[in-house]
Amino acid sequence: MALGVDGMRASKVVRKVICLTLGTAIFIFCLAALYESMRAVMDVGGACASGGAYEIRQACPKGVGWVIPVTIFGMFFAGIFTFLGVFDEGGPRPYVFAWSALFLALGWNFLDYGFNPPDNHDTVWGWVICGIVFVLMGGAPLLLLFSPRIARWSLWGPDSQRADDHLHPYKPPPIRTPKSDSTTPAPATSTVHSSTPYARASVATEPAPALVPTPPPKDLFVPPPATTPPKPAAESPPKSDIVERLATLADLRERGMLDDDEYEKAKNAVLGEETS
Amino acid sequence: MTTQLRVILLLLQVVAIAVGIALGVAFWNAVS
Repeated sequence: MALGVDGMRASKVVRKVICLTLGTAIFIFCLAALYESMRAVMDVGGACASGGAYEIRQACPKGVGWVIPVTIFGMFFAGIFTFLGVFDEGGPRPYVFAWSALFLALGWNFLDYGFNPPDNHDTVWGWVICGIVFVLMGGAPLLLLFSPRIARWSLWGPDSQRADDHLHPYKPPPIRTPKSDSTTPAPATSTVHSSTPYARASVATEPAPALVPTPPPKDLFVPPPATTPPKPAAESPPKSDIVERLATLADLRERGMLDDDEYEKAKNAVLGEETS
Repeated sequence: MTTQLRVILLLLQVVAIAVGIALGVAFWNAVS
């Protein structure tokens, strides 16, 4: 086990950890800058313009013109970066929260400025409605976290190994071999996908048994004997078995499930078996 | 994957979020 992950080189573990951490940091960096630039735009009334040949009524605050598009695309790239760093074997899945983080952050801006608009205007219902929609969009996926299974998967990752896996090694299914030329069972060539080291070890060492009976090779073929040996005589049941059956019959009679006649007949039948 | 690595990854996520917020706000203050 290198650096905490079975079957993964230490350099790959380090690379993935860096991707995962840096991806989240870049995403949050972009989101924070987008959040601040959005507030700057809302400070000047929620709409602005810059450049072009037309007369501009409300110029954009400094930096908004390029910060907003750059941070939006930056979040996409950061999400991909984070995705590459997620371990299949476990660990947090931060991309699960990206959607909610984006819409809840921007939704908060809409609600904040909707109820407390600049210049002491009344409530701006357009922004409030946008805020409610954004909060619903961002909050709805978070409701899934009330499921312990999903919350555990998102923050802790899937369980790659159970504590008692070594007690239940994986056994590959038998492989049917249609060819009958060989007496030796065909080796297992299928790849078994399993997350446990025990499973991998068992697959690598155990050949799969062939279910189809294969005839012996011709040079080793021995013809069967012409006469079949006589069947052994039917064995009489052991005495302990007879005693047990008689006791059972007596018990049934005591319980009233057999009357005297039936009991006698059954007893004679059992004793008759013994004498024959 | 060991429990230690999972815990380290979670802590790194918390650190990344804190650093991201701090740097993002500082960046905006610098360019605005």
